[in-house]
Amino acid sequence: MKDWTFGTRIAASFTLLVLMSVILAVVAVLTLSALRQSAEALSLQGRVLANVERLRLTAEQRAAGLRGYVLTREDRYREELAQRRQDFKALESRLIPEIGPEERKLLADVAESDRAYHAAVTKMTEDLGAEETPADATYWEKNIAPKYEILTTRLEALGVVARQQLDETKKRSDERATLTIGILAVISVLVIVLTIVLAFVLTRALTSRIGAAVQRLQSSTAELQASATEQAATSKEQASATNEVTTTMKELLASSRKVAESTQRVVRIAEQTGTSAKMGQTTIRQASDGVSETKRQVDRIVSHMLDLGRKSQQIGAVLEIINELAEQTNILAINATIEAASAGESGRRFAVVADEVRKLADRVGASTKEVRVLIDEIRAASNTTVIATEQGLKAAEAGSQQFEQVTASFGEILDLVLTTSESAREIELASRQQTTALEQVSSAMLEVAQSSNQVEASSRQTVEVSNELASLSRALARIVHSKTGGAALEGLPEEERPRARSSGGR
Amino acid sequence: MTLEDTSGVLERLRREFDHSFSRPRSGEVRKTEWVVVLGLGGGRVAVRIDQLGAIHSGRKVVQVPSENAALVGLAGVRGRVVPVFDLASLLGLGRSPPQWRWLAVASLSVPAGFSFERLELQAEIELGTELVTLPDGVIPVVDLRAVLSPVAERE
Repeated sequence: MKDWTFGTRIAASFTLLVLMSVILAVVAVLTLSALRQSAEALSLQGRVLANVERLRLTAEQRAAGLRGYVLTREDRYREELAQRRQDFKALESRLIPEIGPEERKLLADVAESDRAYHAAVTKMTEDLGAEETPADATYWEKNIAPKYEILTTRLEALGVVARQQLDETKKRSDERATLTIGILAVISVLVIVLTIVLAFVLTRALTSRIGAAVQRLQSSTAELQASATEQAATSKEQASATNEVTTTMKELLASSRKVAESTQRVVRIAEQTGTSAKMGQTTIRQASDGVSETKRQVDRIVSHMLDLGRKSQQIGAVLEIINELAEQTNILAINATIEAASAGESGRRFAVVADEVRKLADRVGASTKEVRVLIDEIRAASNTTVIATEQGLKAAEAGSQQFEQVTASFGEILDLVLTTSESAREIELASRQQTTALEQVSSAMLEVAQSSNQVEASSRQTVEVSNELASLSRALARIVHSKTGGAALEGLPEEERPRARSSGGR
Repeated sequence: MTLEDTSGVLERLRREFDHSFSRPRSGEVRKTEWVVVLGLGGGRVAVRIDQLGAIHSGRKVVQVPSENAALVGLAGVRGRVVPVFDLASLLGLGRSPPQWRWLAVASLSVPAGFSFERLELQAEIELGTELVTLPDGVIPVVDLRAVLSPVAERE
């Protein structure tokens, strides 16, 4: 039981009280049922007694009616007798199910005496109606009175028995009532005592536990106060931050829309660039074909130039031969001149021929020099051209390779442009989706801002509530630990007294 | 010279050759003489043709030991062994390079030859002139007899 919770104890106590109440109720019901039965018995006996009295009264009324008929001979008295007889019989019938065996026996005697009396009365009335018998007191005394006397005696006996029964029933009822009252009183006292004991136990437990709970409540309330205050401050900061975020989201949304517009422009430009790149690729292919043809032409030119160079060298070799011949001719001419000079006068003609030969050799030498110069120039020009052509060929090959690289690069550029265009379209789609998402986020942030403001307001209210809760806990502590709760409340400062709060919403 | 000039040269050569046959023989006594201009080291000299016996190129010269530094060696010319001297060394114009190829035989009492670096040209000068006037300068005329004879006789 020590491990029971307070709720369990209260439940057990209330269960016990309920059980006791149930027992009390059952006992009360039983006793009251018994009392009701006693009352019903009393009522029955009363009715029996009343009916017996009615029987006696009816018998007297019959006797009175008989006397009236005897005296007046009026039919109405006969009718009244008959009616009274019927009433008497009805009363008998009514009594039968309500009486006991002893009373029933007496009632049977009454019925028998009633039949005898009725027979006597009927005969008397018939006789009186026939006017054969005068109204004679002795007839009454002889035939009617005894039977009436018997009837009334038996009726009285029945009445006595009925009264006795009633008295016994009343006595039993009184006894039963007394017993019921005692039982109920005892049970009530037990219940009251049990209730007092349970109340005392619960009060002690409540006091101790509630006191501890109140202390924990106070500490928790203090923590709640601090937490609520912190939450209020945090909510305020959050609300302001949310407002800033909302403003930032609006700016971000505007920026996103600009980005989306710029992306659309980029997509258009990328598509135009792709179209231009495709056209450029076609042009490059055509130019590449031209470069290849140029390269082939340059190759042919180089071949021709190399052939020209070889021919020039051959010409140079021929010139060397001519030059050598001219030189040898010159030497021969000089030697011929020398011989002519040695020959004196006879060598003068020979000297002339030698001189002409020398002149010819000089002219040939001079021409050879000029031709050599020309050939050298041609060879130089040819070499230069060959070199230039070879350089041009190399440049053409390099240019062709570069052009191929350019073609490949252009192809890569075209692929990149197409990829860029595709990426730009994806970026545009993503930008539109981002704009949509930012719009949704912006609206959500507006809602969050509103919620933050509401949370801030709620936090402030929470702080107020926690403050009131703290004052309530202090008041509760005073109540719990004070003998007079009202005085404890009165002793609280005004600001700490619990204020009435409406049970409606905030 | 251009291609057009070569055709003009051809015509000129033909014309001058043909013209050489059309000139009458001169009966006058010549007042000129022929010289050949030779290239020696860093300079040039002229030599009278009548002092020369022959000019050759590419002759083989066999070196021989000698006290005379100007002696290059011996060469065979028309069946004769001729000492060859370096004319540039004899004239004090330095020494001809080792790859010289010209050889002239002087017409002296003693056969002697000399080497020179270049055969420039043959020119006609006035008789008795000691200088040869060329468009690019004046060249002295060397007397070979005076230069070679003492050396050749000694060797």
